[in-house]
Amino acid sequence: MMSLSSRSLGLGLLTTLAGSFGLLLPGHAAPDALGTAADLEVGAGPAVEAVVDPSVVEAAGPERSTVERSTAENLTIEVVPGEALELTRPGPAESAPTTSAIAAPTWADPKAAIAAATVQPQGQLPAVLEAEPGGAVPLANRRENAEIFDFRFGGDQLPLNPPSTYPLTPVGPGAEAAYTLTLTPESETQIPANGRSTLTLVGAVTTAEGNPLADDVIVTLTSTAGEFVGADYDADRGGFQVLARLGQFEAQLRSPLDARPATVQAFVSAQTLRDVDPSLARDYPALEATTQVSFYTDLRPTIISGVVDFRVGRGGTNFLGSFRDFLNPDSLSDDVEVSFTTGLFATGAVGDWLFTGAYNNTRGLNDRCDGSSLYRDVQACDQTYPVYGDSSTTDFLTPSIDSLYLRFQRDSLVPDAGPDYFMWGDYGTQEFAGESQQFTATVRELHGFKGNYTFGNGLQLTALYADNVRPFQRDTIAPDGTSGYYFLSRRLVLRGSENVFIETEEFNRPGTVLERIPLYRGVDYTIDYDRGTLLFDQPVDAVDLNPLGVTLVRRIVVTYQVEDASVRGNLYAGRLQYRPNGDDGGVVGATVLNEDQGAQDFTLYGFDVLFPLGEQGLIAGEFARSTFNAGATNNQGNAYRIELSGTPFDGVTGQAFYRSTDSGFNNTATSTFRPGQTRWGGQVLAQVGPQTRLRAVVDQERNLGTATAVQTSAAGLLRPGQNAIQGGAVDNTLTELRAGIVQQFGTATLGIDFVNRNRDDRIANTSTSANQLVSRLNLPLTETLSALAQSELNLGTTDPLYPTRNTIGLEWAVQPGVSLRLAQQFLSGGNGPGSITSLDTLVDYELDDNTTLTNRYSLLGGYNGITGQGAIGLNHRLVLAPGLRATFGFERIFGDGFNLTGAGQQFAQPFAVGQGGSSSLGLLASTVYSVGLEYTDNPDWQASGRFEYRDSPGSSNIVLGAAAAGKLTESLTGLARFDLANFANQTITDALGNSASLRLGLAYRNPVSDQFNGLLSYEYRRNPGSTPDSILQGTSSEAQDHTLALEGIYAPTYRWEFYGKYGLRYSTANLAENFGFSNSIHLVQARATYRFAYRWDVGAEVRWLGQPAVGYNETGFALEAGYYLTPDVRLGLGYSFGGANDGSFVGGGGYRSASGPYFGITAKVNQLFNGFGVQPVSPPQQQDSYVDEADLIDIPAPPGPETEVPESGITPEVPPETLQFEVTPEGPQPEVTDTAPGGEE
Amino acid sequence: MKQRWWIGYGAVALTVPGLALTVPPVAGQSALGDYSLRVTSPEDGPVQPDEGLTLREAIELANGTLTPEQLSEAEQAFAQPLPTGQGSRIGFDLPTGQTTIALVDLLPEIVAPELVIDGTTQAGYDVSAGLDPKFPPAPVVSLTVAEGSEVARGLTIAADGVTVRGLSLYGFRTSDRATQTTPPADIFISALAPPVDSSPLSPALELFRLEDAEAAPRGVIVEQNWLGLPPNGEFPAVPSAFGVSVFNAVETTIRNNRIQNHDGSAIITGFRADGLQVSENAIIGNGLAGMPDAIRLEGAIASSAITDNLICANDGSGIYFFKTEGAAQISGNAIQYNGRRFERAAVYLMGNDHQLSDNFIGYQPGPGVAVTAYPLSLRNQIRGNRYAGLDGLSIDLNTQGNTGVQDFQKGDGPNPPRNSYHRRRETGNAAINSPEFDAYGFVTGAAEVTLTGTADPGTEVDLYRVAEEGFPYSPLSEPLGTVTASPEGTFSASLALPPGTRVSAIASDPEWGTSEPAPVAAVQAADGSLPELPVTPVELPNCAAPVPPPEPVEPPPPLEPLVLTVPRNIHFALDRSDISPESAEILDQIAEVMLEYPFLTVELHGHTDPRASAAYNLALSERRSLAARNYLVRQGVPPERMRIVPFGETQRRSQGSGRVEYARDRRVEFVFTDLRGLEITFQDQEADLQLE
Repeated sequence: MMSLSSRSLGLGLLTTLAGSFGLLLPGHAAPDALGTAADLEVGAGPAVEAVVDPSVVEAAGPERSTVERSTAENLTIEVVPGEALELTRPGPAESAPTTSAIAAPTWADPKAAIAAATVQPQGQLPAVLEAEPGGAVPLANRRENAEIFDFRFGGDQLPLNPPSTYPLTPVGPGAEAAYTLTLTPESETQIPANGRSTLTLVGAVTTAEGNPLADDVIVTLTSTAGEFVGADYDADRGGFQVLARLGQFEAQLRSPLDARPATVQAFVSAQTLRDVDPSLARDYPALEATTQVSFYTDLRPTIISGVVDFRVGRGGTNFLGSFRDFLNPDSLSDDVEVSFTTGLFATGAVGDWLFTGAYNNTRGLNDRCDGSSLYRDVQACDQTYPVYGDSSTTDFLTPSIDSLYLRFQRDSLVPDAGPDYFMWGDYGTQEFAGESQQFTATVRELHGFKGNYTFGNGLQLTALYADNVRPFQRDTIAPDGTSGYYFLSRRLVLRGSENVFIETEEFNRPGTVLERIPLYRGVDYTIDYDRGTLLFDQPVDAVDLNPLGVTLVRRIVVTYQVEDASVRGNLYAGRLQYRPNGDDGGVVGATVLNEDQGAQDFTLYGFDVLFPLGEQGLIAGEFARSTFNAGATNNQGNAYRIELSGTPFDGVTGQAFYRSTDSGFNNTATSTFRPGQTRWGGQVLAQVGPQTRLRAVVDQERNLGTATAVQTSAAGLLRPGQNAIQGGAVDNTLTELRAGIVQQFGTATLGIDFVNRNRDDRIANTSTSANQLVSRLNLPLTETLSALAQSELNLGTTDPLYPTRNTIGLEWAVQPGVSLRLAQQFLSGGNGPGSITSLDTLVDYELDDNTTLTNRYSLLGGYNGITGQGAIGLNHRLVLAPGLRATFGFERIFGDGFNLTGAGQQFAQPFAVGQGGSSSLGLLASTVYSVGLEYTDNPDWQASGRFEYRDSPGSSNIVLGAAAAGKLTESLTGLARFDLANFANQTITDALGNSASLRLGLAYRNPVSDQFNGLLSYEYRRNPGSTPDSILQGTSSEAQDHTLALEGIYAPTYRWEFYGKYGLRYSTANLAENFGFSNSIHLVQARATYRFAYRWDVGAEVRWLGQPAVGYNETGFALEAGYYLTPDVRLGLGYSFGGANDGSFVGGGGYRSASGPYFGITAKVNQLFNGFGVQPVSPPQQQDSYVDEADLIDIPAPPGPETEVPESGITPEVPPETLQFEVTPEGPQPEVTDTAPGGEE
Repeated sequence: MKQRWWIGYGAVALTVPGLALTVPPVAGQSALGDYSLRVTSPEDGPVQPDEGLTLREAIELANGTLTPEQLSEAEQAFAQPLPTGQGSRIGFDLPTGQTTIALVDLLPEIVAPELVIDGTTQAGYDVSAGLDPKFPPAPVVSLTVAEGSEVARGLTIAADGVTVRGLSLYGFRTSDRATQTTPPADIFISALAPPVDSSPLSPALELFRLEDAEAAPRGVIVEQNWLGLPPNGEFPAVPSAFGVSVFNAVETTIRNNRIQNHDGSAIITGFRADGLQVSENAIIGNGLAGMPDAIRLEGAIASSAITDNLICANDGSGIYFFKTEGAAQISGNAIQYNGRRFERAAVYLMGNDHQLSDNFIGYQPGPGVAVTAYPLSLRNQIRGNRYAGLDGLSIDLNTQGNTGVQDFQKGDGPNPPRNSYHRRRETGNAAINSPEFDAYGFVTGAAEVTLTGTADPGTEVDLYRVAEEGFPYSPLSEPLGTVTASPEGTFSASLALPPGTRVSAIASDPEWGTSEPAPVAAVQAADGSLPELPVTPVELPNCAAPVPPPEPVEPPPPLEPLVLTVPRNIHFALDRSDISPESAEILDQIAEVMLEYPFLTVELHGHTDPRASAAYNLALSERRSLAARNYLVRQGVPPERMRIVPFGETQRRSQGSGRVEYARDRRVEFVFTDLRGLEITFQDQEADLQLE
């Protein structure tokens, strides 16, 4: 409350009221570079008993004061005059090449990479391999909303996939279950999702006889929702660690804010177990146990908060409103201008439903100074200061790209079902990407209506409508081993609309995704929406070289909407899903989706099924049909998928699958597939002896349709459009037969496979057959070090896509969950790279619990959670010392790998578009070194740094990053971050200058006094606007800009408050080496307020904005007296004056001015007029302190003869003031009972 | 209404005389005439000449704001001048049967130094009734609020050396309002009391002279009072909000009081309470509806001491420090059965250099002592205490800068060993490592067993016997002795302990404080087995006032299972938590049994039927349990023997979905425990079933 007492009596109506509202809202919506008053004024109290009710923290309401907003607009403005930006930020590449490659202007400097791509005639046959068991194809969304809206997609995995790549694993009797791990909730299994309640989990490690372990082991706990509280036994490791003393452990899980079921997993690594019992076999598996808990919708007490502002004055004199409105030439002539602004937030229980809503009548709820977005942004670069001076956390409860957010939610009456809800706002499509879906799955970020309801019989209906849908783009990028920058194929990405995945597929065998890992903004990558670049927090390796399996390649898959003012569409989708036996049983679903984009229509519908067959088996199937119309294009097609797995006999497992897509089938919002591909096969694994395992595989793939046309022109490569341009037809078949044996010799494992591959190309009319002998060896050298080797030896004919390959490697299990692997592969004969070397830091992502990771990046009294992670976090996992972590990587690909696969010719390209395009991505020769370090041990500061260097023939990329944040003194918090990198897309690297940015921030906030607060920020950016389009235009440019902001607020007594701000942006640009210019913009602002009586205040504010280069000067001045009718209602009367002298050619030129008196009413929506708002008076000290006070003075009526308790009773059960659940009787659900609702009441 | 009137009045009263006081406080004090005053009228109202002297008039006379001449002659007779300088004395001579003074408004702030308000002067006060200093004799004079009035404070003390003795004060509270600034209390002590509410006319903050330590009343004594309960000891119809609020006063002494039944804390400090002495009080059953901690310390509390109190059956922590400055000493207290409503630490420490010794800390649904991680709290010595019946560690040092809600209530559990110097900067008591025994079992020798382990070098390791089950942590029952860890960080102790004994240890270092306890180790017999020690019957402490000693020797209770025809559940109407008359009858039976068999304790399990949401039902079940508990408290069942456990809809009584089944579900179950380990049989009943 101390901070409240000295809160500003802002001159602006909104400044005061919205500012105090800002107490609840850490200044998140702060404009780009300058701090905000709200930032300054957020309570300086450190976190102690900062019992921030998370749900109150962010009401997407009027969180910015008018003054801030005006400066925000200033910054937007100042971007425009900088001509450099005109050049470097062109509109989206809008070529729509429905015909084949347009004759493009010659590329000034055609990259050798393209020339190097050996173009082979269409129609020759390459080959294929395998897929991983239970290869995960998780579909995902963004993490920052995980607290509220993010559901886990389909349990994060698809049950089956085409035959697994099946890495060599040790064969053991597998029966010696020497130890077991248990995990159960102690008492409660469900608690309210209020971010506060906790439930206790207990577990034990026991021996085979059921006795407790005689030793202590570290158990790692992870949960799909919620957060473990208490002391983490090893804060440096992913997940939450507890020490199980004599095998027994206990932990407490705190609920999140969103209602959902959660799976808690306990894990004891094999390495830990072997330390306890050295006699354990090397292949003794890690112990795992899971348990289910659930968090139900918390019907919290109602909160309504917000501000209503009414103003009447002369036209163009709204000094305290938006910058755009002040001196607006259009309104200067108006004698009277009336404006009404309101921002409201409310949440609370309405009957059984939890209501959450927000509304702002003048702007979108997610709006920032420079535009709208889906979801609020959490990236460090979009936050003014990621240092709030306290440890408050922020949750975005009401994301909406438009002015309204509404959500009604309640727990479903069906056990195990997700909550029922209806909403308007921003949302993801998690219900449309279930575990049984691939071809019908949709992962997108949309805005509009969405509803989900589960009927009593287990039938779940989800429907959504999205408005204002922009063109949807899918890019696939071949990573080059560094973390960026990766360009997307389009500029001006709609903020918040992207989904980023790392997909893995077999080298030279496109079409089957083996792994799909979702990445999260702020945590895993940062994105620049304006020019469409991604910078990952960790290097993305091009190749995953596993000597015991098959060589895999990685792909960055990004889907997003393009901010295009001219194209708006809408989208309808519905899904009906039936789970007859709840979570344990199978699922049957039907999905339909229709997207209308004006000239384009897309329809997708289908059915999917997933059913367990008894204990050991599983069947999954899917049918999907899509139609796509765009102009003359009219594609349609079907997709089928059926997968079966089972264990018919003990020791024998089998899998069979069939999947097929028509070449006209399309769905760009799911994981990658190749249209026109049909693949079927089966696999049997049999354990024939205690040390011996046999395996037989049959696998056939047929590719039909067309290949992606090879692009060689700059325009074709850099502006690929929405869908890949189709080239020649393909029609080929690859049949693979494999039989193998795996034998265990002591600790060593040896596997030998005989493989026959048969290729048949019906276009070139060729046919080949090749035999290969694959031997693999895993030889443990010490407890933690293993030697790995693999030889793929061609017998006779060599299949060009499966050359003779010899791979050797060393794997070192450095610490539980983290190992280092060095591998070298030599290739001889055939196409593709000549050799590959890699050093990887392998991390067990199963144990990577993001929540515990974000906790690591908190600075008490500095910043918290995801903010800190975005600022300094790199998530490095190899622990060198407490709080010091690192990763190391090395990758060398000798020789390009642009091969002719069954799907067509691969070629060097910066990005592939659409669903089919990704099959034409290949490998570029390169050498990459990377090292990253991170330090978080000191509670006062944290730092991270990285260095990556990639060298390719003719181009190189250095990625440098360094960040540090900390408390210099108790009051002074600082942050510095530096990033430098070139571009990582194939063919673009080194074609543009490096991009660099340096950010420095200092915040002064004394935790025990808020008399003075100050902020300083400085940012330097180099080439902030470079895009591939400048390559096309043949110009090179070099731009730099500096932004400086200083801000201070001083309140010597509660009567006086002074506020000042200075902002400067200085930009220089050099075009074509002989033409350069510079530009600077200044903003100076000062305000003083004086509260001269209890209800009265007076204030004055002055602002100057100047851009000397174009002779632009603007001054504004306002004087205002305010009277508080009630503490929540303020009347203001003032006079404002302003004039602008515009010397430039645009903007009308000349001088314009406006002045006049104005009157305004501002009201804080909270207890207004005695009952308007419903925030309870003097709320119970904490929510869980709630006590029914009436009960305490309740004197029961003396026992009478059979009299009913009087209607209203002596004891009103819930006094009105403290009524929390007034409208929610325990009572009657009509479908449950036939009793009249309300019963005796 | 009255309150609102008072706001205006108070503001004027505070501004005008307050100003006068601010300027010439010394002159004002010396000018006061001292009287021996006898209050003879229990009436309250405006000061006016009439028959009897009211307390209000007496205080005004002592304050000097009223002269005897303004009163009637009859009244003047009750005001005898005393030699100046020794302070006025207010005694009581109320008519028999009219010893309740019901206030209609705030009494004037007491500004007369050395004033003694002595309720023991009233005829009928039985000094000999006090068997235990913690339970003073029942007062005769009581000060409460007139029906229909709302008065925020009983006595407001702003002068040095004021003594309040032998009174019963209760019923002082306000209804909730938006701008409440200072907590209502039976006794409020401050240099100049801030108004109850802030208002446009509130004086500026500076007027309260908070910064001027000299202005704070010094040496106020509150003794032998019953705060929060009337002389008959019953639960008052209107409970007080807080007991004693030491807002801004130094060297206040609160001793030998019985402080009970408050909605908030029994004792709360505000801005300054340096030198506070709280000794030999019985602080029972407070925090029922607000701040749940029995003693809540905030602000400056240097050189405070809380000694030899009984702190029992309060709803939150026994003692909670929040951002205090200065060190306190806490010793000789019995802090037990607290956390009736919230799971909290029995003692929550924040700040440096507190001494916590020779206390009994037990029967708490939380840790014994928690030390916060933020603000960093160092050098807290927690030694020589005994612990029992905890749900958590005996001593819990928060670590890793944990500052969640739970960390400030229940601590964060056992800490990992310090792995870097920086842990000291984010852990309570600077992350002093807990001792660790070398093994979980030690084989005993011929006569003695040698316990070895590791601890921070040079620390003093206190070994404890552990009586209760529980692994790896269990309350530290009884100190066994102290050894010093070697410079290498090892310790070794040879003790004569019977096999089967279980031990734990804490380490203390003057530079850092006391550690968390070591995981329990057991003494094994020579053959490695772990014999069961005979269970020594535990004399369970309680909160009851002592009974007169000479009691006829009862035959020892029979050790066969009791068969009681006592119901163990009551039922509720749909969506209601009030006690129906039928249920009241059943509760009466339960109360009777509880009173008859003092060794019974009971958990009140609240349940609802399965309709409506789980969240709503959880709250409803809690209200039901609370209603039942509060009913039983009013029937005289000691609150420390009851614990509230809401279950919501998770444990239905029946499976069906008919009206009868639902009615059966809507219940509170009484789960009795016989502390002597006897078996009892209880019976279900449905006499009070309430159908929809």
